[in-house]
Parts: sequence; C-alpha cells; structure tokens
Amino acid sequence: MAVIKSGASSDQWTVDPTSKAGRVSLYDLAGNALFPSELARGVANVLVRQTATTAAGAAVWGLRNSSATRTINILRILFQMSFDGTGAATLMRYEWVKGTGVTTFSGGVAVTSAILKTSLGQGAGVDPRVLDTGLTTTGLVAGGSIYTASHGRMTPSATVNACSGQHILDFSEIGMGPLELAQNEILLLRNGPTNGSVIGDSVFGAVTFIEKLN
Amino acid sequence: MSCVYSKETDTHLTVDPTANTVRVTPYREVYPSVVEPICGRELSRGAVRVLGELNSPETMPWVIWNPSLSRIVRIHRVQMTFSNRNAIASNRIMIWELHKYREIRLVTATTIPPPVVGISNVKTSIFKTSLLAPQLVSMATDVNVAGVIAEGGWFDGGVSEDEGNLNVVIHKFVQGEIIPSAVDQSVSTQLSISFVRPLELAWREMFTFQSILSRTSWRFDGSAFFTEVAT
Repeated sequence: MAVIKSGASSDQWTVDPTSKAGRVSLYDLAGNALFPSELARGVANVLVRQTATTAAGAAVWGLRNSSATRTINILRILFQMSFDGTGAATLMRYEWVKGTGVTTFSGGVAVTSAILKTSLGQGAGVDPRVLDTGLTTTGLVAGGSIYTASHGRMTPSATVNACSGQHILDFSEIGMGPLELAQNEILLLRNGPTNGSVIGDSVFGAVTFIEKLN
Repeated sequence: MSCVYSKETDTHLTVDPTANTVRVTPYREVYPSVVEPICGRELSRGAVRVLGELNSPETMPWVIWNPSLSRIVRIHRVQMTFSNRNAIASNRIMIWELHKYREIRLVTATTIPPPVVGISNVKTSIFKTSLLAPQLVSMATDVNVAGVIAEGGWFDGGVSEDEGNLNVVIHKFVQGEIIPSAVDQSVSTQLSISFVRPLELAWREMFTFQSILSRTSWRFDGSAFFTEVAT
C-alpha cells in the first residue's frame, strides 16, 4: 500500500472517506488554480445620473484595487442607459475602460458592495466610487476601451420607453478568463470617448467580482 | 510513502497543503491525435473596441488581422449596437456581416482605396496586465476617436474568392435605419455572437465586420473579446 506524498513538501494526498475519491485541484498550464480560493465575492452597484453638463472623458464610476496582496477578478458587467431630461435628436455614449497606475482614487461617494457570500465579508481591495461630474484618478494610464454603447435621448412619456436594453459583458465564458485588476488598477465607466453628457443621462448596472490572493 | 515522479519531465507531482489535493491539468484531444491543455496557453487576453461612424458609404469599416507567425488569435465573442444619424427618411434596414478571410497581406496606408477614410489602429484593452501585449492588428475607419494612431496599413485589396472565403457569412446583424429624434430610438439593442469554440485567426487571417451597402452616418459601438495563444 502506497501513500502518495508531495514532491514539493511533506503533504500527503487525501482520499475522501465517503466517496472514496481522491481529491484533485484543477490548474492551468501556467500553474494558476482554475478555481482559486475566493476571499470576497460581491456586486458593486452602478448608479449614475448626470446632474450637469459634463465634458467627454469624465470618470463617472470606478472600481479600483487598493490591495497589494489581492487580485480582483471582474466576472461580469451588466448595464442599461436611460434618459429623463429634455429630449433631443442626439445620443449619449459611455465606455468601459481598464486603467493602471491609479495611486489616488477620490471624490464623490464610496459605493458599498453587496456581499454574495456572507461568510466572506467585504473585500479588502475593492474600492468602488461614483461621481457624475468626474472622479479623481491620479496617475491613471488608460487602456483601450473595453466596450462602448450609445443610447438616444428620448423624452420619456406614457408612450415612449426612454430606457435601453441590457448590455452584458461576460468575461467568464469558457476559454476566456476574467478581467483582472492588480493593485492600483481600475475599471472605469466614462462618458465619451468624444461625446459629452447632458442633464438626465443615466447608467444603471452591476459589476460582479471576486477577490483572491495574488 | 511514494512520490509520483515523471521521468519524461524530471518533475514530482505536487500535493497542495491546505486541501491535500493533487494538482491536475485538464487536456483535450484534438485532431490529428495531439493533445492541448484546455486552459493556460494564453499569451494575451483582452478586448478590441468596435466603434465607428461612417464618413462615407463603405463596405468594410473594421477588421482584426493576425500578422504573427507565432501566435493564434482566438475571438470568443463579438457584441455591438447599431445606430444612425441620418436625418433622411428611409425604409432601409442596415445589414452588417461578419466574415473571415485568409492570405491577407498588410501594406502601407498609401494604398487605401478612395472610399476608405480615417483609417486608424485601434487600441486594445488588456485584461491581465502580467501577460504579454497582443500582436493582433485592429483597424477602423473612425475619425471621431481620439488618441488613436492616424497611420497604419490596410489590406492590399487582395481579397479574392481564390484566397479567401469572400462569400461566406459567419453571422449577420440587422437594425432599421431610424431617424434619431426625441421620440424615436435610433440605437439597436445589444446584438452579439458568442463562439462556443473560439473563432481562430492564424497567420495572415482576418476577421471583418462589413456591410454590402452602407450610408454615411451609420454608427456602430461594441467590442470583440480575444485571447492570443502560441501556435
């Protein structure tokens, strides 16, 4: 009878007593655990309404990773746009961007994330904030747009639905890993890239994430 | 007690300490009798923005092209919305098509055919910073995008039925040409195609988003999600 022992440590392989099955953990070719231990699992709510005319490129919502020891995996972004201002034959346009190097993330109000698994608690590195006229993102080096979407500014009425359909950005599909945020990396929602905002432009959404050790 | 040892790779099997699990990596068999890991070959992961407004009627306003002999570009999903800024009444329907071509050689911008204007290299979003930068090339005819490099190449017009799958449509998106106003929504809902197994671009293969007939002021917004793996 042989006991399987690790070649890297003194640990021994466990066979579960009921199923009689040996325990295995799935790793990819690069040595990353495919199902890493989650230290937090949550949803950050996105709720932005423009209260003033705002120039293109304003960071109206963001989620930064402030932790040096944890990585945030963004699994999915859902959002809709709507309008409750004075209707016009123009479009609002928003873009999602990933940035790096944000040493200071401030302004507006902090968003408290919903906890999807109570025993895990809030994430240590998750730092979402919102300000419709633009958050401060000192040191930001923005990458290319992840996604852009437009919506017509219709006057809402009893016969006009001024809300868009739902936009889904799912990064957890088979064969495609999540969007990852290391320390001082940030997920941003900006108006633009060339379109400014007017009063009544609004975005509603949800960003689902997990936190894991680096 | 025994350690499991691979003579071929001179490596011991590892048991993880917390759950006392054995590490395993799933592989799958692919033709012809080779195996490849299901996860972990990626060299780059990200998104390419698909964004533009036509300045004149044209047929191919956006492309992804693989210039690399050492990498394969895998496209996992394309999703976008369509809109219109024309103030001309119309009963037309926009029909946009996704195509894949082979044997596309990149040449200089000076050979851009007349209807194609404002050609630009599109900046990518990198999802995992610790991986390598992508080598794919994406281009769009959108002069309204700030911060892009206003130079680059274009395929040399060498797309022919001999060389590519000119008439093979992967998928079509359609949207009515609505005049934007305070009471009519000119933007489509999100339209997408997910490839359950990724669409792969080998060397000199190109993925395009195009229309047989288009008009000035047609707009499109969206993304293509990709990974790059070694050949």
